[in-house]
Amino acid sequence: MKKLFVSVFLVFFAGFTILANDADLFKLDLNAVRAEFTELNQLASMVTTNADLTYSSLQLTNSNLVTSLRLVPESVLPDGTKNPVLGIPSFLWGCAFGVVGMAVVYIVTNQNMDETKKSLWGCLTWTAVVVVLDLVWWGALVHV
Amino acid sequence: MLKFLFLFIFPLSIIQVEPQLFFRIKTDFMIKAKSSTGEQRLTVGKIFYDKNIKQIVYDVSFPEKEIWIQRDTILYKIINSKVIGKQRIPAGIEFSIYNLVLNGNLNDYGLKKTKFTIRKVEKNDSSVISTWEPPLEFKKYFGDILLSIVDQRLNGIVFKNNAGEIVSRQFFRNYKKVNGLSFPQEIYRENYVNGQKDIELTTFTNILVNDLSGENKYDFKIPAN
Repeated sequence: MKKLFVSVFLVFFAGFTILANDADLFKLDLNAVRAEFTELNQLASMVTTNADLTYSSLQLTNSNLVTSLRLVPESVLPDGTKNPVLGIPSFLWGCAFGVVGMAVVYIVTNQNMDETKKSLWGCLTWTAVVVVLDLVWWGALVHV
Repeated sequence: MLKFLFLFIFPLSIIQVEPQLFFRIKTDFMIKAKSSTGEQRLTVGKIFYDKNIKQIVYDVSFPEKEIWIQRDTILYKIINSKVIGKQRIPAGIEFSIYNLVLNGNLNDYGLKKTKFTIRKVEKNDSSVISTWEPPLEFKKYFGDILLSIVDQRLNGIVFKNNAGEIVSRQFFRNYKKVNGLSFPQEIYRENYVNGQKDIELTTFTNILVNDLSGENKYDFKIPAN
């Protein structure tokens, strides 16, 4: 049972794990990074040359560009200022710490409901995993 | 007399400019961000920071004209001279890049002044990688932090969670010396959310150090509403 539990846990978290040695962690192809933003560069040039351009005005005059870029009207701040609580995504807070994790997210993000909902999903996901594991365990016991 | 002057002046000339001489920074910034789901965000504006005032002022012009003020761990959003929102954020001003640079602490990301301790130092071809571990009481929440130094400058930083998985990677590139102060003109950040990667590329231009104009921008007063 313990082995099964550990295996499921590892598979569940496999997506979050990156195996690498320390030097590999700092390898970066900056050209590939810049290529990721090729589409956004057109808008960046427009904003640089027109200081009055805003998302709202762009939506009125060039909504196709907004749609094709899948542009979100929310600002990002440097320094990762709006990053997750303690660098841990809200989903994982709910997943790992359940209701307590949700409470931490709710308090630390100043009652941000979007983040709290993410932690709720984490909590529900983990609960579902535990229920499924219980069913598998009881099923195995019944058949023994 | 000349010899005397030389002996007096020469030692002064080789003294490096001390970080405490730097107190203010102003820069234009542009952030391009892309989420794992393909949504994109562009943010453009100016930053004003005075380490004695201890507040970061983000004067944002795109996506909308708005001002964000960070004081300690509170972030205020101001539009048309009214506070329209505030939120608590995890990292305080002490760990902002502006504060770290002005105080000469960017190379260790300010970790020397925390309870994190160095567990391992590895030297590679061109870089030195140090692994910092959290104090026992924080190990429940935090994992190791790895710093990479190249040419005596912070090249990258990796944050891990308590299970040893990467939470975030940041890279600092294209350092520029402005009045003797080194500042990275490009920061690339990857955040791992639910196993997916969100990316951000920040560029800084028109960096000014110890700018004495626009006092009200650095000491921006938060409206009482």
